[in-house]
Amino acid sequence: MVKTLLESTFLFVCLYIALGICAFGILFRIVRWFASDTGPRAAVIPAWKRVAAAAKGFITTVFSIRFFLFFKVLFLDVLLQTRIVKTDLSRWIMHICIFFGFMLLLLMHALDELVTKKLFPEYFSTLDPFQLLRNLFGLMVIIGVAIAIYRRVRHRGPMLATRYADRYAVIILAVIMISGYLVEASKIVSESVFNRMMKDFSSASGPADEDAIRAFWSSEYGTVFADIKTPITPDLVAKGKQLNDESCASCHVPTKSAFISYPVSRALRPVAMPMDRIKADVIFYYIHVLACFAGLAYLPFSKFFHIITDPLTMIVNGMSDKKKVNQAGAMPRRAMELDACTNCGTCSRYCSVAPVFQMIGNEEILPSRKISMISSLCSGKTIKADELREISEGAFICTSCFKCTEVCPTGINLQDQWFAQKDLLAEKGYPLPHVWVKEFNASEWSDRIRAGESSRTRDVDTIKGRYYNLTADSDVFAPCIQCQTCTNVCPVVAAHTGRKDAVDITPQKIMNLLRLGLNDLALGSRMVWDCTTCYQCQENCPQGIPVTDIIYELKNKAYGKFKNIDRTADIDSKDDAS
Amino acid sequence: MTLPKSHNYDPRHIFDVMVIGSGIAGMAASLFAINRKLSTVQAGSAGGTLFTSGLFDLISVYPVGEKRLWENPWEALDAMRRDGTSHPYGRISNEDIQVSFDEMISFLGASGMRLRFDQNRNLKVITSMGTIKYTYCVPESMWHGVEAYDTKAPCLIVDFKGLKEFSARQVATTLKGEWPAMRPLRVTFPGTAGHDEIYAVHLAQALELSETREALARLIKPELGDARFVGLPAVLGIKRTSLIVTHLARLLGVPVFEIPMMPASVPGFRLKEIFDSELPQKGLLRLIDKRVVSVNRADNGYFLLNIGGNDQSQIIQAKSVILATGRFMGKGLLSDRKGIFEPLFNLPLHQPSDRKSWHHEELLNPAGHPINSAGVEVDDCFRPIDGEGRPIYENLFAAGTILAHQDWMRMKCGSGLAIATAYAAVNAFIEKYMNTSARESA
Amino acid sequence: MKFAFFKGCKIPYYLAQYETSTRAVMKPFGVRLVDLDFNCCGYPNRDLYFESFVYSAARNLALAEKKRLDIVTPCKCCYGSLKHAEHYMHENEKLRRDVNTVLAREGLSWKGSIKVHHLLTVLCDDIGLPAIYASIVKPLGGLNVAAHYGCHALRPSNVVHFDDPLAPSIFEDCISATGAKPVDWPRRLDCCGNPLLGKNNALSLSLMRSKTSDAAESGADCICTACTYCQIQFDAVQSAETPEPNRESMVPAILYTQLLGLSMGLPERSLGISKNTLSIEKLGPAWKLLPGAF
Repeated sequence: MVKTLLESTFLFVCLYIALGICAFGILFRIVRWFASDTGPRAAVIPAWKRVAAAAKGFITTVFSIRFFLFFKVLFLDVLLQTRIVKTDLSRWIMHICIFFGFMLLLLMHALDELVTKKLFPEYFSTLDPFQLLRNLFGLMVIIGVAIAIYRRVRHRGPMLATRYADRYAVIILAVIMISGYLVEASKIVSESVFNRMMKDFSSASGPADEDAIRAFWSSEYGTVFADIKTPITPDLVAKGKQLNDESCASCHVPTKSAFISYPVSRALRPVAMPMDRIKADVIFYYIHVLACFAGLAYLPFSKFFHIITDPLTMIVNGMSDKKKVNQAGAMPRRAMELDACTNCGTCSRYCSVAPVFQMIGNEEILPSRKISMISSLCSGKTIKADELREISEGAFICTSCFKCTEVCPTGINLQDQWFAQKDLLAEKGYPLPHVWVKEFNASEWSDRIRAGESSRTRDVDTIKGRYYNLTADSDVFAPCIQCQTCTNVCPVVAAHTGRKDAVDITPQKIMNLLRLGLNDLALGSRMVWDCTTCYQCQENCPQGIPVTDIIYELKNKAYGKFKNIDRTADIDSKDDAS
Repeated sequence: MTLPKSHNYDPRHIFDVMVIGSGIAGMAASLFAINRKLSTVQAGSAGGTLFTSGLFDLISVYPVGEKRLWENPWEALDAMRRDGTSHPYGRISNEDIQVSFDEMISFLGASGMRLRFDQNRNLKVITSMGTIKYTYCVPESMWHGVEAYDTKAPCLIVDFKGLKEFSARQVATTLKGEWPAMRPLRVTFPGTAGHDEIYAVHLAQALELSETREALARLIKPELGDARFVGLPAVLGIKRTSLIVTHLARLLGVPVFEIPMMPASVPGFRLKEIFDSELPQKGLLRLIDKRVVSVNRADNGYFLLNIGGNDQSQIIQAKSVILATGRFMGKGLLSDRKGIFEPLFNLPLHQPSDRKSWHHEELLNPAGHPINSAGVEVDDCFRPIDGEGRPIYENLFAAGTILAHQDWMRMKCGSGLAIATAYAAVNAFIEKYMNTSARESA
Repeated sequence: MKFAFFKGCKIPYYLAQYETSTRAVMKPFGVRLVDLDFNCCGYPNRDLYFESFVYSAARNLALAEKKRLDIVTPCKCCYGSLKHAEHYMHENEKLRRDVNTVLAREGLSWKGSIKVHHLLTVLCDDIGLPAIYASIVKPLGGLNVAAHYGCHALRPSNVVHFDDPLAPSIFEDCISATGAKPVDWPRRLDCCGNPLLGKNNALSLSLMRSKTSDAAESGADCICTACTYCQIQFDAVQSAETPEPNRESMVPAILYTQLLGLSMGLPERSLGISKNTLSIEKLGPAWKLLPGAF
């Protein structure tokens, strides 16, 4: 039996360093939850208020009837991971394989001295069922990893983007698992390991007995010996079996029950001798253990941090009302959720506006992409205006349908994240276009369009409608007789909400501007951007002019032009005027 | 439950009448047809009656060249008949004209728009320009204006800041000579402070609420003085005009009247609202904003009308068609380099021989221009006729301003012509066609 | 009868009672409502990107077409949006080709073989008013109801083909069936203001208030809606945005399916009237007409 960590001081030091880094990392990330500004009005909600709100939320929940939800969430969502099975069976199989495979290996195998031995006093790593189970659990993890890789390759693309963190997670798991099997396999074939065991445990009384055991181990247990002097006969093997039963079997079942490592060891037979010479089993062991330590140390900074954040998120969100959000308490929760996201892409698959992404190609529409953008948005990094515009487009195209929140396997309150992101972007000067358009009036916009067009050489009418061009087709609006019916039936013109907001250009004046070819003057008008799309004008027009459709088209064109204009820039025409 | 509605009607149904056009003539034809239990369908744009002033003219100017004004419209008609003009009125008796008016007036009255007239007299109505217009019949909401003008009693004319089409001062200035007791007043309509421009229909909608009326009365009342009438622009509601007029009169303590404005104005919206909502309830199938794209005739003489929508074309079968598409505004007549033509049936037209003779040399010639009398010529049954005077189809009728030999704008006979000819056309259809075909099938 | 049920984005989380009450009233008439993996109807995107609006809607149409089911939606905005897309796809060949190319990526295509219905037209035309009259067990006599038509189902009529756009009657016919009395109110065809919510709140609320004051003046006990957004506007938004001194003047709103369900004697559990923010006085706490109220 190998002693714990080979009694190696180096490995123990590594273990403690890894544990230290891990503990520090976890602490660091938890502190960050309270320091990140993950929502609007962050300046007026200092960290202590967030801590207080979180504590208050915790206490009120614990002492309320809702606390019983805790057990439901823990059992169904955390352990059985039913949230995953609701949307995707293959992902659930993958995740259950990795989660239970790895967790059981951790408890039964890595922490055997602390856990398994306490539960099963007769535990011995080379006894069944432990040896068999170890292989089984390992196999589960490997199957899970294989499914994960397959899914990432099969569904690759913006809906399931594979990034560094995902690659790292798969690789570290694969290294740990494969090195583990290699340790076991290289021990099976190793003559020196066999010799060490013989020395420690065997009661064989002479060379003849030893030869019998060797013969038996060679033919049945797969050990590769440099030279066996006597020929292996069935009798010798039978004798060996008898001796094995007497002295070895009590703590060493047949290696065949290590149903992965044994076939691996058969494959290693040709190189067994040189491997034994360089103590391959020890090398593999170091790789295996160091990979585990690396994984442990890096855990708080890797995707695996979700084994802590996800249960927490599921519990917190599973026990609170997703629609009623307290801003102070929500900030740390949102930050935690950002850490809990495993980038699984489920939200994007169910996103109600994903088809919009298909058409305009702005990835910021996809929730899986948005959640990672929020991290950088909250980190205080400076983001370029272009990028902010793209991000804000993703934010306001969302229809707030809560579908992503419903399907998120981690139970992240994604909808609340989007609400917060929208508000945060509005604070940064990127609200809905309908709002920012009103920073300027129609003629100021027209000036800005001209300034923008002269500063760039061309690209002016890239925004020509591909299918309809009502605003450029005089047959459409020329029949207007300026009878004002459209204006008279317009509820927006009729609504008096104060001078500042009053409609500037009435619908029939828009028709007039189009006739004069002054389309630019209509683009930024209040009428166009405050149109409630009720179609009264169009339905009542005695000349059958599609007034509302024209306003829609103007909005489309205006947005196409305005979004590329720097709204903060001073423009020449103003200078000219002064 | 069997009313045909545009959301569920049987496309195989054969209608008795298809009315094409949605102006006063089209609406009148539909009304008369429905009242006579004919199954009726109507196609036309949404706003055909929007441009009416709310006043119903019979006739007040004849002959056009002399610009002679008639106090009594019936005398004008008699004079016209004596002169032997081919005006469509010449084919209808005075009794029938009066009956057609009565039928229309009783329909509008029952639908909430009461009309007033004096049997043998054209009424004098103040317009938003301050001029006086002769007309046969006015909405009750304007009646006190006629009285006030006749008696020249002290009167307050109110306008609203921002309502560009109506100026009380303009009215007062124009009428100062003959009506010194009239005073103008400008107030800010409740809830529109700070707005440069306000629109009549929006004021009408706002006045449907009693709190707006009370607020308005509070602004006017202190300025009443000796006024025995208050005149307001025609914005007193769309659906509840009589209630609003009564309420305002009660709040102010004096009769209130409306002054008609330039079309498209609120009375036009009221009329449209009534026709749009009442006729379908009486059983009319209204195909709104749908134009007849083409017409075919089946072997049995029925018309097959292809109704164009943007994405759904439908075929309507009708035993007869009443063409009430108007002249150029209503697109009943179109013109190209060769001349004027009627686009649907390509009917022969009475028109000047070439483009040069469309107009007189002086633009403002009081006699009007030859083009103003162009149109479809009909027989006594209002069926379009060919060069030899024979009806083109025995089941095609025409009504309203598309008819030739009349200059309704100058003669002030638009609504009367529309109503009377629609009446004559519907009756002719029943008499000549329905009865004949019934006899034939029997 | 079997339809694909197009809920739209807001019903599941903001107006669940609309779904439960719709299912409840449809069931006795043998109507089966099937859920498909629909996405947004496209309406919110029409302001900015025409193509993505058409594609979003067309994808839904294609999904239903694949299952050979007509679509029924209880939302007037979704109805209008789907009808618009259908219209454009019929009309514009280039658009049809391009959209179908994108649809083909996920094995879908649009041929135009299915129809889009609104809940009210299904009730009125497919089930038929006589059947609805026959199903009423507790007529709501004495309740004055203002039918709010909702713009996007009604106009433009040459696209949506819902009812006469200038003088519709389908909603009043449906309300009459429940025994309640439809009131005539001048602003019945106007906009509720919800499309501007979040874009220009003052304007949105002003539009809403001009309607509620008109309904009140016309003697309505409540406004009846058959649209997700209109109901949200008149119920949740009106309640949240009406300050204290004016709260008396609020006019509550009820979904047509709730009204019908009440008169059909269906249980509150499925109608969810208690989930509405504002309650109708005349209906009392148990949503039964109070006998003394009339």
